[in-house]
Amino acid sequence: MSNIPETGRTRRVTIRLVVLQILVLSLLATLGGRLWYLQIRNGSEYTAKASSNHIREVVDPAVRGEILDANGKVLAGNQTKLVVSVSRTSLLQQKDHGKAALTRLAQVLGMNTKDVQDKVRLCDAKTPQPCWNGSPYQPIPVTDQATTQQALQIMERREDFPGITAQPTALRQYPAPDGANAAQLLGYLSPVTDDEVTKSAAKSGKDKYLPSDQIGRAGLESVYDNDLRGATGVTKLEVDNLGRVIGNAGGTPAEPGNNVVTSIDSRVQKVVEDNLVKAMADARTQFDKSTNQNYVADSGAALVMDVHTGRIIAMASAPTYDPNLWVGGISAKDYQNLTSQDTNYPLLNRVIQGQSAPGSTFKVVSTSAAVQAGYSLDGHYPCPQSLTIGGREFKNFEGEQFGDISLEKALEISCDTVFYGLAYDQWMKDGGIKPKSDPADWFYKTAHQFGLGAKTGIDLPSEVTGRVPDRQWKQTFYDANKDSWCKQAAGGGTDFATQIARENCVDGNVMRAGDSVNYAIGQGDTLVTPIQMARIYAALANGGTLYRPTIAKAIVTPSGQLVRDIAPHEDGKLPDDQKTLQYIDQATAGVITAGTAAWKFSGWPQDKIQLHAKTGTAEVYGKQTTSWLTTYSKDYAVVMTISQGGTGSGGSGDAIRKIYQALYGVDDKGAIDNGKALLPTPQTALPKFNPDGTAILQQAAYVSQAPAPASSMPGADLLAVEPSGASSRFTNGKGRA
Amino acid sequence: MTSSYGSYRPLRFSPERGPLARALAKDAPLRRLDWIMVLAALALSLGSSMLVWSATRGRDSLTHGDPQYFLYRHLTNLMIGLVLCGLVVAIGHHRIRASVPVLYGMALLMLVAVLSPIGSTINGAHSWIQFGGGFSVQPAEFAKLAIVLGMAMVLASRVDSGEREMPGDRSVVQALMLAGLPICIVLLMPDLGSVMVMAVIIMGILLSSGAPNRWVFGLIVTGGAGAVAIWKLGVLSKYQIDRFAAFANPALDPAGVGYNTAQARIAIGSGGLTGKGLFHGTQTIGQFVPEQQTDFVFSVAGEELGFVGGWPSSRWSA
Repeated sequence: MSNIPETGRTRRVTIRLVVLQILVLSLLATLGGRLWYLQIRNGSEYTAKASSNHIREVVDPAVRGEILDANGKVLAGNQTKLVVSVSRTSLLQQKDHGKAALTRLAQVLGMNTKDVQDKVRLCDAKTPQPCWNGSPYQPIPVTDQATTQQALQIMERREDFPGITAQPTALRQYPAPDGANAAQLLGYLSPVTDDEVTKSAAKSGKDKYLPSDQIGRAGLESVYDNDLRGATGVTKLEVDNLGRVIGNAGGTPAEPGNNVVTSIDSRVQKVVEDNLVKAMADARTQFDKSTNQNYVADSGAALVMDVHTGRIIAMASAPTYDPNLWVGGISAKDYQNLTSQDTNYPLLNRVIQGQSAPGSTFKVVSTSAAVQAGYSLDGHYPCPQSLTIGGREFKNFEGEQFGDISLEKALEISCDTVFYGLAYDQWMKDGGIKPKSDPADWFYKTAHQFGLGAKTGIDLPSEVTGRVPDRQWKQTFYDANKDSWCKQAAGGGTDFATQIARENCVDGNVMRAGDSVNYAIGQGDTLVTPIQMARIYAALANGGTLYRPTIAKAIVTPSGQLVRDIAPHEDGKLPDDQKTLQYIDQATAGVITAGTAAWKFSGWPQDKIQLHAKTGTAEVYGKQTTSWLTTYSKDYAVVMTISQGGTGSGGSGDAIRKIYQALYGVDDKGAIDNGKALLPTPQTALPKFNPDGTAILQQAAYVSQAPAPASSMPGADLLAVEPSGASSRFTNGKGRA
Repeated sequence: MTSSYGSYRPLRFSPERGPLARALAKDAPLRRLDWIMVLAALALSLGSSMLVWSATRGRDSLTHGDPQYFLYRHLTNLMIGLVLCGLVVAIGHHRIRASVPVLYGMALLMLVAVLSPIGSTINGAHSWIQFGGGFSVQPAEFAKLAIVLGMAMVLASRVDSGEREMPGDRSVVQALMLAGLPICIVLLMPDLGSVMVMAVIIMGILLSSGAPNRWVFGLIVTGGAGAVAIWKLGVLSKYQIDRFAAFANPALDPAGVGYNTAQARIAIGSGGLTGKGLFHGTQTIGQFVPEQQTDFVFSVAGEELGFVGGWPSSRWSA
């Protein structure tokens, strides 16, 4: 045929083909290299991207632990409500994007179709509330108020309600066992903020918040949040490119939170709450001569403490509110009500956040200070009508005079001039207006030893410290206010405030005689909280130990097994020796039998149940007097204070007596009936639990015998909603879902 | 006779050889086949049928509810291909060479038919003719064959007849005109991808035919200039420019233009060394890669078979 080889290849063609082959092979090598780069070198990066592509996490909320009272009754629990939720992913798969299904749902629920649609839309910058700002893969709750009938309609006609479920879901509830409100004590929950979620992102386990979490914001809910909050479960769903669920990729189940057992006795709590409200209502019927109007009694606080452990048995703050307002998100109107001046801030727990001058209840501190300063308990000290110190006349409260009396008598009848004299004497010894470089300051030192001017460390958030107006505080306060005082003084006014400012501008940092003597009777710049006073009087009762006040006794699992005990903690000892303590014991008992509180405790079986008390009537500049009554028995310290409530015994005497009557089963005439006693001795054991975690209750449900408040109170107290209706089912303590 | 030849028996042409012997004879088509290539192609076809099956099992909108729809279709196509292949082998290239003008003419007719209302548009390219039963052909594919055959015929005629050692300018010009006609028609569709493939085919034919260097380089320069011209003149539609842009810049707009390539990279990259196993690719099951059953089918191999599986399949294609 030809001279060309059969392959048809000339040398030139062969070379070209070799070049072509090399070219193709190198292209292939490039492809291979790229494949290696993608799959081997960066394989893990793409694996992570792939899983974020196709794995969606659906949060399975954990049931929050309960807060139980000392008998296991549920103070804060969970209530099962029928929550109707809508799955967006399922809606989007429907031809009309679920419009028909939502319309049917609105009909069944008796809601407006548009409202339902708004609730299930996703929030973004342009979408106003209501909208859903959680994960679009999370079922979106439409209502938690569905009736059983509505739920059945939805669940039985699955084909009419694709992607819509009606399921029992646990919601927080404060069932108020025995009618005990304890709102400020329990606190409340609210959803985590975006900020908190971002900040906790790096953490793991319970410390990592999920956008669906609710966390405790106040009270016990806040302090024991980590115990109460369970571990949220996560279900990992595999989804396709349109977000349709195509499989399950495992996950972790939700773990319920632990329960907190408190030392609160809901029955005593109810008694204390009722009597505080009653005392305030009664005070408003009393006429105050110095202001020419009835007492305002704007707020109050009361508590009962176990003197042997520092545990709180009851704690009430007025005005109060219904903690259930917070459940399912508080409305803007309610929130405004809770935080406004008109309602006098019912969110405040005035037992630990309300501070005022202690008045004469401070005199037990002054007595101890006098003993430490070297004054004899057997000595007698003058109690004249008034003392003139530093050009000012310091009078007894009602101008009475008793001659030379013992310290015991001075406490009993609350003679101010005795303590004025002692404090003045000490002030002079410390150098008077030109203080020594190292003053003894017994009266101030002793107050610090009694735990004043510092937090007690109770297991509640936002406790305040109160104030001991010692030299150091004087200086700090002067440094902070000097400029404004001097400015006011330079204005040349002649009114009282400007005169004070002028004095303060010159030597406001110097402890003056007037400051010192005023301080000795618990007036002036001294500030204490009810919890501090209760701790002091509990220490007087137990032989001198200052316990750290606690509310929680133990953490138990949902089925009742002990997780950890919260043991009583000694924070220190009173500086008094046993003799001084006995002396004060005797004097404070005398207050009940013959002293300032005797008129409120006539007929009390003092020989069987010895009570001790100290009254206080603290003057507040520009306001009516603060009523203080600090008392203790062998086992309990009971303290009540009412702002603008009159005298100590007049404002709180009846209420405190009622509280002791309930505790010990004493009737109005003084007869003791142990059967009626709520708590003749403090409870030490933890409640026993059934296998399902509900408590085995020892006693029958308590029915409050306290009378209703005498008059309906204006403004603030409208918020003091008595929990009713739903709560009645929980009075046997079985509030569990 | 007997003695002079002895026992020698001249081997002679023996039409009586059995069919098996004939089939296995040295010059028989079966022996002359490039078996390595045939087997590689067969393995690739079967393997890719699996991959397409994997990619389409869950795509109800494509499979009309039958997960095996694409598997059966692929296997059917494979059988058709094998039959055609056998026919071509049986006919032999000499006889085919004789019928090249006819084949070329048929291919051109089909291309023109696409431009007529018979053709239909798929994915923006008006380059398909659809038959019943879900089957459709892309005549540009036949045009590629026609170009190969037509150019080979023209370029080889002078050389094979011994007139020249290599094709002359005239042959090259004739061959390029033969190729240019179908390319122009395909450009009208417009099916840019096919045009690019055809350009490379032309290049390969010129190279292996031994055409003068000036033509080879001239063509490279023309191709480059043409590409620049197309780019600059704005002949390309938006989606075509976007495709190039996404190819050049992997980070470009992963939610829009770059979505397809980004998802393909994720699928391939997440396969790792050994892959997730056939039918176990999460990205494939989740249908994150659009057009995974067609242009992006390699992402199935990358994800489910991994480096170990994807590397040989690209090798085999070589």
